[in-house]
Amino acid sequence: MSTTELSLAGSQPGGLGRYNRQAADLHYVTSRVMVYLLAFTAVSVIGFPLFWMVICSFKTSTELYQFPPAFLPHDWTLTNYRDLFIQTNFPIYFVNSLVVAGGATLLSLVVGGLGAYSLSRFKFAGMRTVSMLTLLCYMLPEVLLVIPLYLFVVDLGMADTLISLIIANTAFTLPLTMWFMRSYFNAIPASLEESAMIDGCSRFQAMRKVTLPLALPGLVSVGVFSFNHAWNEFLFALVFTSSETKKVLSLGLATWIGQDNIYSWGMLLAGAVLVTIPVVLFYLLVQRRLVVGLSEGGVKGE
Amino acid sequence: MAEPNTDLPGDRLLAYLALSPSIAILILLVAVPMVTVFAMSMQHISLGELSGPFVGLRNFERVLADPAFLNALGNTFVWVFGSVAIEMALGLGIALLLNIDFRMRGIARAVILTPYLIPTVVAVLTWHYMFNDIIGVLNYLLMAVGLISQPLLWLNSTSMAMFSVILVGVWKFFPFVVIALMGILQAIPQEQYEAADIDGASALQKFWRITLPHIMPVFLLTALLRTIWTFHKFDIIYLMTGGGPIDATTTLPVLVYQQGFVDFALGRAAATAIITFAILGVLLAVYLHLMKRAEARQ
Amino acid sequence: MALVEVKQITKKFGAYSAISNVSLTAQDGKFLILLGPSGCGKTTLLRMIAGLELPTYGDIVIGGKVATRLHPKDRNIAMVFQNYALYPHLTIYENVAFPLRVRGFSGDIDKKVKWATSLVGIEHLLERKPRQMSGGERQRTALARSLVRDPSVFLLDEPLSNLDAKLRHSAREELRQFQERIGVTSIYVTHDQVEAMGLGDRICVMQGGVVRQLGTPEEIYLNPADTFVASFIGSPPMNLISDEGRTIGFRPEMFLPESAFDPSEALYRTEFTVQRIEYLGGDRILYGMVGASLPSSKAIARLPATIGTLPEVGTTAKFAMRLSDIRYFDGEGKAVEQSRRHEARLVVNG
Repeated sequence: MSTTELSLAGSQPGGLGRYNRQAADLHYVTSRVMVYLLAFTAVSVIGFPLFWMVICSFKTSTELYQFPPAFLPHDWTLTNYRDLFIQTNFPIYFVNSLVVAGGATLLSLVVGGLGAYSLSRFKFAGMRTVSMLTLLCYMLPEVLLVIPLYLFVVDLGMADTLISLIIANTAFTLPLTMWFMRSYFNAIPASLEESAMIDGCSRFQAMRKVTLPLALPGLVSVGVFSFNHAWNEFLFALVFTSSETKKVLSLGLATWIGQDNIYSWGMLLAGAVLVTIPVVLFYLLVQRRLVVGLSEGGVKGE
Repeated sequence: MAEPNTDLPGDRLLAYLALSPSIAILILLVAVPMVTVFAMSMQHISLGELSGPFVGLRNFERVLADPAFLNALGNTFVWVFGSVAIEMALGLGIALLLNIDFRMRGIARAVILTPYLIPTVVAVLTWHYMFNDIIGVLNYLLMAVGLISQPLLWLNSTSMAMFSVILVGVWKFFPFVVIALMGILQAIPQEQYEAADIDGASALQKFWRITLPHIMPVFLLTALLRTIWTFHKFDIIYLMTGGGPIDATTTLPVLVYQQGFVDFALGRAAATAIITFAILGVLLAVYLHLMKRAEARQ
Repeated sequence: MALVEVKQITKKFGAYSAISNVSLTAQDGKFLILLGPSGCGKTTLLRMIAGLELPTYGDIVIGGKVATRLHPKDRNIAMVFQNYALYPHLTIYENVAFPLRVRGFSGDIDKKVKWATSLVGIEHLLERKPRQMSGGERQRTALARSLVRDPSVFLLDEPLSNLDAKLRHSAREELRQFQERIGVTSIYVTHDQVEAMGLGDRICVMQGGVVRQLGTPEEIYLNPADTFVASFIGSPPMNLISDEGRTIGFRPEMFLPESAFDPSEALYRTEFTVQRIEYLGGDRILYGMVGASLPSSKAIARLPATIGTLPEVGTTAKFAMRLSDIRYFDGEGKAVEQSRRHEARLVVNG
């Protein structure tokens, strides 16, 4: 009662009432300050290695080995990047990685996309089992599979080839694609395809003209996840390939670690930055879907 | 499924046709290898060979009696529980922080999630450089603020190496927890907090009585996934330390690799891999049991 | 234009029968409603006519041709889905043009699209995407898309259920006019009896996978075939009172104070104890108990505002109904045939 009268008394007819400043609340202010302090700490601690990686890749070798280290380079230089391309096999590794990751992704998208469509749209005996098995595949330890796969690769004379890596990576990217796309197809109403069939499409046309365009964002997302998985993959590369011309980035860079008498930290860090760029670019592409995809259990832990 | 399935003549054929390539690949790449690895584990495979005479369970006996196995098992548990516990705690904290609206939250979120996106080898390179005994920035920073008085041997001392590897693993993988929890945190209806405000609940009470019960299923599932993945993680440990110094960071997957592709004892490696898988299976069973109980309690 | 015949259709999902031996005919150019509660099999039946499901037994005949195994695209039918099933990635124009394009229509697509969209009054929205449209506009788009290629049969699966109440009423009106104008055989699924009564030339009431009654709205309302139809149609539903293995039924609006009738009429008189009164503007709904010659049971009376004096809550008043307005059902709930009514009536009166 009295509050109503008060605010009425303070206001001009037709004007605004008394302005209630939120910042005037001490409790509110303290909690906001806390939030910013925490956020600042978290960002600087977690972000520091990233910052350091990028910054140091532009340092001259003198500065890289100087102690105490300087936080910003005195002389910014691109020498590390240039040397990486001139003195090392980095370009070869990069192309190999593109071939392996691209090949595995494409194979999983085509094969797994069709499989997921079938799992989502049709009812048949053993369908649930198949769905559960795809999830299980996805949980299998790589070290368990690498031993028999190594055997097959050697037996088939595919050792030290990129194709062996493409196929081996598919063992993980295919279940990922199937599991993810199955739920994606489930979210596209079946009535759209039915409608298309009544409108005059065959089942196949309905898939191509209606379902495929609608599933495209999902295919792009899961393609990025698959690509990233294969781009990062290390164990298969380590076991299956050995020659310089067949190395992928993860293996190539890894063999440089600990050989800092040969390869400078500058080049290594420049390489690290370049390896990260495609991944980050791809993630920017699907950024909005990332949270959804990951929280649906749609992606493996690397 | 809410939507009725279409059942037209010819659909069955199409269904099997579309699915069969996937099934074929999964059989060839997963099922057949699984059978093969069991077969290999019961063979004595000598150096440079791919198969050998049947020896029953002798490989398993040898592996279990090997002190290196027990050491690796112990390391694995330290690695898994150390990593997952810190990841979950840190992940929850950061997710709660990022769930609050503040200026530049988008940038903060992007920075915090980036470690998860970058390739493992990149993370390893960067941390190697930062861990460096002589020129590493980490020792410099810690000495500058007075936390340590002399440089730490992050990766080159048996007592520090596991801690350092866990540190890198947590940094790399905790954003997964953040992402998973942020999704579910945003799904909590705002009305529940408003109702609690009106009922006079404190911030802590709101966390215990609303937030935690809501996120618990996802929290447990995330912890489960992280446990599985951390358990058979190979690359980050191998790349950071190679399992060393000596065998201080040799976990079971690293041991499998060493047996199989350094010692070239494929039979023994297969046996170790199967034991690893079995332990993971037991762990999962226990975990699923606990999770069911927790869900039943709610 | 075509006759649609459903011949002894049974549909099983595993051991469960969604439809059991249903036969019916949708007459050429007429509006047939499939009405029933959810799970009665009406949508399944429609989907079988569309060719989206294969009947386990029986045949679908469209325009004299057995269509049971025909692909949906070869049946020359059009269907409006409950969620409209507009293609989200296409504009309204492309949505409407879609059936023409996939069928390789050789004529002037643009002209046809303009014609169809102007029929339903969305010709100004052609460049929009479905998500930028209101519910009513989407429903019209779905209509335009289904009529653009002159189908011989029109199937509609609860097309109005996603609209709000006010819009639903006007959409129903338009739909009816529209169907009359183009004169296509239409089969319309709904669970809303008001919609069914307002739209249908004939209504097929289904429940539990079987047809309970097929008839004009009047027939179904006035002479329900069984107690299910009697209680499903009408709001409030028909009063049903069990008495010695029989059930007698009477509509609430036929059950009025005795004073409302001409004394010379053949009346059935009883007493009504009023427990609650609901004012609905034009009507008043009285909830209470009938007694006297009938077994004491709950009943509802619907009194038009023209009846001035109302009995008060808690009092017992003399109520009556015309003998001709009473319906009789046997022990299984089936309506008693006209010829046997006389007999049944004597029992009740005695």
